[in-house]
Amino acid sequence: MKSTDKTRFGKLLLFAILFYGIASNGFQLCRAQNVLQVATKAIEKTVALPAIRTLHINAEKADIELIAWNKTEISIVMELSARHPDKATATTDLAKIQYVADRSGKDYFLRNYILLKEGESKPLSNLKAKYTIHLPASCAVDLKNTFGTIHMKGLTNRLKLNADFCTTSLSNLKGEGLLETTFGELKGAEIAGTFSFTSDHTNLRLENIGGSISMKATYGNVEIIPSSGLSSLAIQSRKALVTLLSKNWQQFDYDINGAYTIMKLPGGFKWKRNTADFKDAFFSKNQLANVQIKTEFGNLTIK
Amino acid sequence: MEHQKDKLQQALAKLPTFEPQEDIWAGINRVLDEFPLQNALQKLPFTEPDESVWRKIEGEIGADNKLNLGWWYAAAVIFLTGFGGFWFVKNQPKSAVAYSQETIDLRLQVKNEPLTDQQYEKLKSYCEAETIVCGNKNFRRLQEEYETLSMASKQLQQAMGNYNTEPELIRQFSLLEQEKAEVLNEMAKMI
Repeated sequence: MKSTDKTRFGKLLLFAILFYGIASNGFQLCRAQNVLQVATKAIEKTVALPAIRTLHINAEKADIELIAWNKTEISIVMELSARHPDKATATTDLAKIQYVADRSGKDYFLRNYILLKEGESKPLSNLKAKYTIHLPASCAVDLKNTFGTIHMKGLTNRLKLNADFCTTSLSNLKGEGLLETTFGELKGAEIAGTFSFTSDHTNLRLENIGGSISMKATYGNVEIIPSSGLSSLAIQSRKALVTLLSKNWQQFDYDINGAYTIMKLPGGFKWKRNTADFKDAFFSKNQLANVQIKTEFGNLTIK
Repeated sequence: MEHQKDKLQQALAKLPTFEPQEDIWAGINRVLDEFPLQNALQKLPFTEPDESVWRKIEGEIGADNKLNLGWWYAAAVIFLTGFGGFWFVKNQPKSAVAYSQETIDLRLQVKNEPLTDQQYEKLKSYCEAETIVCGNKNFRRLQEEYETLSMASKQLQQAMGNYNTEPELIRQFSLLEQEKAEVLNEMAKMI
């Protein structure tokens, strides 16, 4: 081989390597236009005896599923994920999601949060957490979540819920509960016990709800369909659109005070005061269950 | 005389004989050989080449080689980092990280500033000139309500980020926008 041929071959090889580098990067960039690279980390825990009294969950941007089962242990699957067109970014952002899964006596703590180490930039990826939890029905739950979904089924003990911008669905709940929501939506079905709801700008729909229920609603639509097992219902609303629907509205006694509220009541109510701005009405047949509604602005409909 | 000659020869023959060692002869030989060479070397003329000559030679050897070497280093670095990166990604200690792909759904992305906010800004600028309506209690209440909704909408947008995958968040966002629009309409009616 002549020396000029040698250098030509060398240059060719060299440019081939450089071209490969540039082309493969370019190709990845093109693909990145509409594909999200998803980096996922899964944590699995089984919490056995001694039984946990309260499960505390402090979640951010999480989809949470809490389902009661017949076993005595708690099974937890936590999936943390980061989505970004660039795989490396998704990977580094995933490392910024921290989690806690710890027992402390009879309490168990679960948490996901973002932790930036010194010099680390804010995550660019879409970060998410997913909790799939199976637990004994008798386990109490204290749950906080934002910008996610909550699905809860079959629990019978104490329940504390704080949900901001969440889509929440509850079914087959017994016991007692303190539920606070800001924005978002809450749907409940087959709920019985002592439950207290506080909602702000949330659309609520409670179907077949019984026991002793109290509610403070600010803005939002509130739709309540009580079961025959209702013993008391107290609603305080500000600027909300409240609707009470029942197969037979006469099965309860009513006490209603409205200020600046548009009211639609079935015939049979007696008025204490009925002016354009203030409407106080009642219905009494000495029923076991009592419904008390106080409204300020907004609408109230009883059917 | 003859007799003395014989005697001498006999005496000489009786003297002990010594053979010198090999290396002594070699040493003598070397000195004898080098002498004319050293002599000739001293007679050779002595010249020093000019600086520019050296530089020229250096330039001719170096330029081509240096250039090529640079490129080769670059290629080697690219190749090694590429390979190293590949190896690094493949062998990361966090083996718990799993990868998959999803297609970006453009319908789940919110890019532009909502129209409601632009309209609200118009109303606000109108209020700077017209103070009777805008000082009204009800108008202020609506304004407060709008600000709350707008703040919530911004929080939602922030939570969704650039790569939202949750239809629920978009649904909430559009509900908020609807509520904002209703409040705006009420405000506009008052003006």
